[in-house]
Amino acid sequence: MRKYVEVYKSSLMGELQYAKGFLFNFIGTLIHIFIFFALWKYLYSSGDKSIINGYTLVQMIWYVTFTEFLTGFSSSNILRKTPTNDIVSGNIAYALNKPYNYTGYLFSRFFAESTIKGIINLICSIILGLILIGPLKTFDIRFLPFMIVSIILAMIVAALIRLIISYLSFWVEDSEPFQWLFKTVFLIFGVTFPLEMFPMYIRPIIRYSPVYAALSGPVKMIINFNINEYLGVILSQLFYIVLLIIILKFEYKKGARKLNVNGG
Amino acid sequence: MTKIIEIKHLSKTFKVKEKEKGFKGSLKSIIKPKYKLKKAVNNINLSIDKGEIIAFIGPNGAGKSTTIKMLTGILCPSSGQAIVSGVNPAKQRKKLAYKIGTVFGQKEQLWTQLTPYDNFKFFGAIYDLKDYEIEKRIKELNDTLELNDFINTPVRNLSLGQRIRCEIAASLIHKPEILFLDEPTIGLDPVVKENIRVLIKRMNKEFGTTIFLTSHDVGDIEKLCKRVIIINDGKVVLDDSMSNLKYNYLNKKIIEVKMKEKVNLSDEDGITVLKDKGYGLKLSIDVSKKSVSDVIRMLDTDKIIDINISNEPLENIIANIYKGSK
Repeated sequence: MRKYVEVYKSSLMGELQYAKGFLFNFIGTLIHIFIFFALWKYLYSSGDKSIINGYTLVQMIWYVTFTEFLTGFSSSNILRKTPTNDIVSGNIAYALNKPYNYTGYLFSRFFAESTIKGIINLICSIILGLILIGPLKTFDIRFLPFMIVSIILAMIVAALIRLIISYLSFWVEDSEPFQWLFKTVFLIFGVTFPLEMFPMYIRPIIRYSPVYAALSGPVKMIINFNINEYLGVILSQLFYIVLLIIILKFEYKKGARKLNVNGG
Repeated sequence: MTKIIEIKHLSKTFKVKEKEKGFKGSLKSIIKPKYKLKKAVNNINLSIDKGEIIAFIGPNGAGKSTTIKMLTGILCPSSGQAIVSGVNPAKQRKKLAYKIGTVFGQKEQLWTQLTPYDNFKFFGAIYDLKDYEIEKRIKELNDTLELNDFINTPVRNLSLGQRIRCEIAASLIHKPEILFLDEPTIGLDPVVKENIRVLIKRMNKEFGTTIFLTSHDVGDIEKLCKRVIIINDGKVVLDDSMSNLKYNYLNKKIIEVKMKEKVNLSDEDGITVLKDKGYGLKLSIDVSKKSVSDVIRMLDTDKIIDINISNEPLENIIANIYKGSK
């Protein structure tokens, strides 16, 4: 474990030098949030409604702000480009003869990057939310530790999916189209609309999908905490983490064996 | 002498996809892919003693990298086996990792945004060294590889020569018994190259590290290695000491002369005219057929302004061995 803590520490030292870069990257997120803000504001005002499917405008804008905040983590190059490039270029072979687990190494680096990125994006997101729409009155600070746990688990679920897609590079030349698919599915079924906005017959599918565990579920708990729903979210997150780890391990083992037999 | 690497009947065959030409061929290869087997390493037998510095060389595609990858646990052999420092790399890759170090001249392992010192701390932890052990080792490496001037400068701001020194230091942090160096001096200027060679020698002497060197740079091979192993088409075509290699293959001399007037000399048994320009001549002499003094006599000593007699460069000898082994 100590070596992964060391990877985390070293990555953190390195990432600190790119802190300004994360600040600039937030401009992209800011544009997204602003578009959604304009869109939802129009929808709420045109129908002259104060609540749509259980969400007030304030809750909706904060929902979008936090889903954007969460997606920021999983879009990390460490989960997408680094493993894909390492596999395609054959560099991964050189990681195989080091005494650490490559997936563990990537995860430590991802958490280090997320620490810096998370702090910067969280501050920026809160300031932006406050400027655009004002405070979220339904936010209950007493449940903050619960929310943090769920956010971290959500990050892990999304990161595992990203890595599973990246490891497809052991077999396909370019895994980026699959990453794009992942991003689009998350955008439509998680970032843009909360679960309640979808037709009734689709809701159970989304509710039990990884999108809910990695995105809408934990954000919903920030917007309006409910202990029963919270436990459901945590359970589904834990279920997906176990399942995805099994898939990831199997996939990596198969991929590494292919590399051992046929070279990089 | 203790054997540190033992290779017995080591072979590696790759399955390579074959595609017919053109668009039709591309479609066909998707529907019904065809493969052919390529033997990259073919029944290699070798043993290397502890503390040796050996050059493992060969032309591109000869099977050098595949062999190194099998010795470092990256690739599994198709048949035969290798024992490296008492460990079978194919079965105990993690255990082997603690016993070997690798430097690939064209692949960076250091974190460029960190300083060499932070990198060494990181690599030390990766190899499960305790903090005080890491500090002690950094001091030793600092003394041997003379890193003091730039140990606290981020790696991205170092010159290539300084970086390679740090790469070597990082790969030695865990006191490996064997160091695999793949083109360690590639891209370096002659002065830095020489420094790196001195440091490699010192490291071998002070730490007793066995060096397994791959390089296309004849200077590296000539100045560092006492033993040369040449591989071509997946087979070992020569395994000899550097002195034997020179003695057995140095049957050619190069004579460069500047004459007072033009001399007409053509190829004959034992003499090959390499260059004939103005009053200058460059000849290659096969001393087993013609002596150097005979050739000088043929040129007429009174008309010679300047003369230079040298051995055939090792580079040519090696190239001829490559060609001869085809």
